[in-house]
Formats: sequence, C-alpha cells, structure tokens
Amino acid sequence: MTVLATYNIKGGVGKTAAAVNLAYLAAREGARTLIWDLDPQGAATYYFRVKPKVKGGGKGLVNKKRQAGDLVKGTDYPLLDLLPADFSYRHLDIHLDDMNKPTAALRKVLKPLRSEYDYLFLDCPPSISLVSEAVFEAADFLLVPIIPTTLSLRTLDQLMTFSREKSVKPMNLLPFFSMVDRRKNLHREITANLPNDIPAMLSSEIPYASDVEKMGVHRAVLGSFAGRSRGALAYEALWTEIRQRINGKLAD
Amino acid sequence: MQTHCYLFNEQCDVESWLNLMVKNDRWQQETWLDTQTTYYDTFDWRLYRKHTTLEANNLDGIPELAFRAANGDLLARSSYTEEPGFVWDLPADQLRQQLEPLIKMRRLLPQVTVRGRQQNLALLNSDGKTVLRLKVFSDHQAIDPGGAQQPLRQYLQILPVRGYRSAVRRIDALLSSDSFLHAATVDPLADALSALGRSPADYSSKLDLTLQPTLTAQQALRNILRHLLTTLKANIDGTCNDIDSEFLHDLRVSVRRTRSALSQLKGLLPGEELAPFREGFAWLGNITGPTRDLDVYLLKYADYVQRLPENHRQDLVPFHDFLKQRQTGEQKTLAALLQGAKSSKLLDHWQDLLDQEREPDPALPDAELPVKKVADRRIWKLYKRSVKEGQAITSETPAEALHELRKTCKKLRYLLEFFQSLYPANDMASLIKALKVLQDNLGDFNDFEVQSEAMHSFGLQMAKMKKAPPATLLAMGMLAESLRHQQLQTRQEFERRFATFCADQNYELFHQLFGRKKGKGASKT
Repeated sequence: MTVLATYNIKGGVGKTAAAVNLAYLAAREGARTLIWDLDPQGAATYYFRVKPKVKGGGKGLVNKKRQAGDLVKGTDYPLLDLLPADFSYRHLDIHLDDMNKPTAALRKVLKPLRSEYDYLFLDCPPSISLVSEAVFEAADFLLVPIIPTTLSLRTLDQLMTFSREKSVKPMNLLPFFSMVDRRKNLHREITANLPNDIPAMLSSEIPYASDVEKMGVHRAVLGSFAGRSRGALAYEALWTEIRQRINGKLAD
Repeated sequence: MQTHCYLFNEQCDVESWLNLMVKNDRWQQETWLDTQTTYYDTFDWRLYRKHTTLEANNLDGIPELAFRAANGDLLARSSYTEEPGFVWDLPADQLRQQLEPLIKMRRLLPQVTVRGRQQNLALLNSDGKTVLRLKVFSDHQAIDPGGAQQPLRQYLQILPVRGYRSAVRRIDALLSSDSFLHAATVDPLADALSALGRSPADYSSKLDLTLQPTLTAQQALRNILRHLLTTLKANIDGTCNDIDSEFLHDLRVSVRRTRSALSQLKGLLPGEELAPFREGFAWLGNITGPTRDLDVYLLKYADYVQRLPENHRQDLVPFHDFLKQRQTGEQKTLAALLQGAKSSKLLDHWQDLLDQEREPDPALPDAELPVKKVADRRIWKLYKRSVKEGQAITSETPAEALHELRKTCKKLRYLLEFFQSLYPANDMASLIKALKVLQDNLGDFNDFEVQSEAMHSFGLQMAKMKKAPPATLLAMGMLAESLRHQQLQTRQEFERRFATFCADQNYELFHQLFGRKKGKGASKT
C-alpha cells in the first residue's frame, strides 16, 4: 500500500479537492483505494455524502480500541472507500500526546489496512502539529498544493525546512500548483519561475475552476458530474504524473 | 464464486416486479443494459482454485476486466480491451500485479460466456448516498466457447456497501418475505458451466487420486496408470496448439511418472506385455525433450537478462530470437509427432491394456498383495537408498553422485505421491515437503550445470548460423559464468539440506509409516 497525504500548513489551498479527486482516479484505474478524512471539518466526508461520525472517535482509533477497518464506509464509486472524519479529530493532538510514540500512532492504526488497499490518501487538517508529524511518518509521499502567492511559498519553505531539520524520516515532498488563476500576473510569474528552484515540483497544475467549487453542490467527485471539465482533466494529468513519480521512487 | 442472491420464480415478470419494488424506497434505477461476461481462467483453473474470478465484461458496449474475490468483491479492474492471454501482455497495472503470482506462465483461456440483460439499482439514504446496490439479471444464456447455449435462471444480487449493514438487513427482510423470490447463493461461473454440463476445476496436474486399501497392488497400479494417461491425453491438444508451455510440462510429467511407475513397480503386470510400452513412453519422453528445453530457456530469459550488467542486457536479444525461432520449429515437429499414428497407436493400446479385466496370474505373486504392503516395501527401499546415496556425498564427490541422488529422490517422490491416499494426509504432506526441499537443491544444481553448458553449445550453433554478434556471445559467456557460479553456491547448500532431510524426525516418520514393523533392528542406513 502506498500512502499519499495531501498537506499544507495553510488552509483553503485545495487539499481536500486534490485528495478526493486523485483517490477517485486511482480507484477508477482499478486500484483498491481508501481515503481517510483526518480533518475535523470533514469536507471530504461531506463530498462523499457520508455522516462525519466515527464510533469511539479519534481516541478510539489511536488507542486501538476500534479497528480502522470496521469504521470504513464504501463510497458511491467502485473500489473507493472512506474512513470518515469525526468532530473529535480536533482533539487528536491531545490523544497523541498521551501516547508513548505519538508520531508512530497513525502508521500503527493503518497497519491492518495495508493488505486491503493499494493506495491510501490522507486528507490532513492545515497547521503543523503532532497530527501532521504523525502523518509525515505514515505517508510515503506528501502531496503539497500551493497557490502561487508569496504567502503560500513561505509555507512551502517552512515545510521544506521542517523536512530537513525536524522530520523523523526523509519526506518525499511532491508540491504542485493549485487554484492557479492565469489572469493574475503574480500567478503567471510564480508558476513560470518557481519550478526551477524546486526540482521535486510537479509540472501539472490545478486551475482555479468553478467546477471544482461545484463539488460541494453536487456532493460528488469532479469525474462523476464534469468528467471532461478543465479541472477534471487537470487532476487526471496530475495523477498520471504522481503515479510516474511513485513508480520511479519504488523502482529506486 | 458465491454471492448473496434471490432467485425469481419462473412465473415472475421481472420488470413489473421491479416497478413495484422501487416505489417503496428511494431507489436510483438505471436503464436495462445488454451485458456479456466471459470468465477467463487457466487450463488448470489457477484463479478459481484461489477463490477468485476474472471477468471480461461488456456493459452496453463498454469493455472492462474485473478481478473478483469469492464473495463478489472487486479486487481490481482494468479498461483493457483486448482478449486477455498471458499476464505479460496486460498493461502494468494493479490487475496485472494481482494476477501475476497466481497464473504465472499460463495463458488465460475463455471458459464460459454469460450473455443477457442487467439492471443496476442503488438504494439511497436521506443524504442521497448509496447504501446498497442491487443487480438484476434477466434473459441470461450460458455460452460454451464452442457455441452451445443454455438458458440460466433469473436472479437479483445484493451488493452491500461497506459500513452500511443495516440497509442489507432491511432489504433482506423485505425480499425474503416476497413470494416471487427465494434466497439462494449463486455462483455465476459454476452455474453457467453446470447449465452446459461442465464444472469448474475439472483439470488438475496434481496426482490427486484416492486408492482404497482393499485394492490389490495390480488394481492400484492400473488406477494410477489410468489417471496418468488421462492427464497425458488432456494436455495433447494444448501442446500441439502451443497454447502455453505448461501443457507440454504436464504432459512430460505424466510420461515420466508413467515410466517411473513401470520401473519401480515391476512384477505387478506381465513384463513381456509392458516391454513395447516402456519403449513407447521412452520415445514420447525423447520427442518432447527439445521443445521443453527451449520453453525453459525462454521462461528463464527474464532472469538471464537480470543476471547481466545493465549495459549488456540488450546484447542478449539475438539469443532470445534464436531461442524463439528454434522453439517454433521444434514445437511444429513435436505437434506433428504427437498427432501422428505412432503416438495415437501407443496411447490407444495403452488404454486398452489398462482397461482389460485380468485374472490373477500365478507368475506375478506380488500383483495380488494388498496395495499398501507393496507400497510400504517400495517406498522404504527407495528411502533407504536415498539416505545411503546422500551420506556417501562429501565436498569432493563428483557431480554425478548428486545427479544419481536427484534421480533416486524423484522416484521416491513419485511413489509417495502415487500412494499418498493410503497414509495419514498430514504425515505424507510433511514428508513430501521435506523431500521437496532437498529435491529443489538437487534440481537447481543440475539445472544450473545444464543451462551453463547449453550457453556454450547455443553460442556455437548461433556462430555457425552467423546469428551471433560478438557482443551477444560475450553476454552469453557472462551468463554461463553466472550460472556456473550459482551452481557452486547450490552445491555448498547441499549438506545442510540433506542433513535436514534425513533428520531423526523424518527417519522416524518414514520408518513408522513404511518400515518393517517387526524388525526393530532396522538400521538407519
């Protein structure tokens, strides 16, 4: 099982949209895919029309009182399952802090699911906390959506510094541009120049598109209601590139 | 594959029934689809035996391959549109990854097709989320690869959505009280085959026959030989049509087992009658050899490539072309011989001889003994021989001694397999496993030597035919060296493997099962 986490310290950058649409594409290609909505706001869970409730809450999961597999819900798409969000995830930090090895906790929760799925997507809450450190440890790749603005770049910089200096293991960062608005000068400039500084940067970018916003109205993935839209095609290109990176990394 | 289903009564009009049912709940109803599903499996049913199925589906013109678990759960799918064959021809996706270890070098063959109409329904909750799916199958026919057709029963299948068990309970309660339906587990593949008078997993290369202890030794031997002949015949068409390399492999194994049975169990059938068959099966073994050898080199080709440094891997391509060309030629010759008069006469006469009822023959006293007595004696004798031969081997012993031991072990293995149903299954499994560990080592030792030497002779042949660029010959030389090196490593491993095989616990088990029960003084060698 390959674990991919969508993460950014900053909120509102298109993490959930990326996790949901990429997971859908992985499943559509025939891979057994699970998405874990770790964000207490539960946006991914909402898109899948699942109730944001997990028996025993986040505490039950990390304490292993509940098996993750028993809490999984099938989505409306073949091969794609969801481990829903729960409002109690907002206290996940506190529960992790009570544990011996807090950063290893998520990896342990996921262990029994390893043989059941080919891909696991973690949709993470923004901020940098114990939860995100546990995500860094559990994830094989960190998909980092970046809006091409100065502030967003700063957060990428912070993340790269953290990865170099504080992280338990080397992190495979896969940053990509998100919510790109080609009408804005700054967006055009940054997307043209930044990739030269960061070789790991993916070349596919997700445009700022109204279809992506409409996911909340349809409560569905882009592929199911606007399969040929600009946004849907951009996610397809992004997924193809991510898959190549994963295969390249695994072949190393 | 068994799934959670309800069969419709024959008088039920499915469409009217559905129109009524969907009024009760929030159902999302799709239109009827024309569907066709062809089930693929290998000749020896490797997928079915692992409780999986591979379906090539066509839903209203949209093709897909779906790989499922026994309960109908989807394990992987692919939008591959060609007819599946070998695993290496499939796109490198999840489906291929899951199929590869199961089917290996075997070709996927269409086993049966089901054609008809299907309607998909989804039960939605108040959020519009699907909590359960239904598939309704109507007007279905089972179609044999030969074209024969038979109608199938109409049914609906419940597909639970993970995490929504209460929906299943509720719909089950509703459907089980419906007078037009009755609950059933449906195995679509087995049902389709059964409608056509077939059953899944009707071929296995394993020697899985059951011998009754009340049989005489001769009756048992004839049962074994008949079983081997059935396997041999089952593999002729596949070998002649070059479907995949396992047909010839299985054919050769049944020839070898037959020959081994004839030589190891002498005195149970009249020797003079058997003489022409001994000769006949030796001939069959010989004519199948060259093609099998080439098959093996082609199967090992990917491993050969891996053995070379990356910058020399491409150099091996002319060798592959040479092997392929030779294999094609040899296979044609073999097919002609197998379809020829000599071969069919041999097998027909052999069948006649095995089917003849026989009076007890005073010249063959062992033939009328209980089978177990003869089996005990022969297995014990060969076991002792294998231990003796193995103990004589030191690090200085020439390779021939290991080859002799390999042959003895093979004979012992065949005897254990022929007679395994006469002894406790667990004990036999454990002895066969112990023997196999040793056999693998001896087999590798032999194979690496044969392959390493073959590289030289292939190189000479290719050079003679002007098909060997110097870089190819160099690469083949490196390969021969690598194989020779591994042969030496295998030899170093022998001592440890042999010591495990003749450990006390195995000796005791062999003795307890097959040794002389009175003579307690039987020595270990």
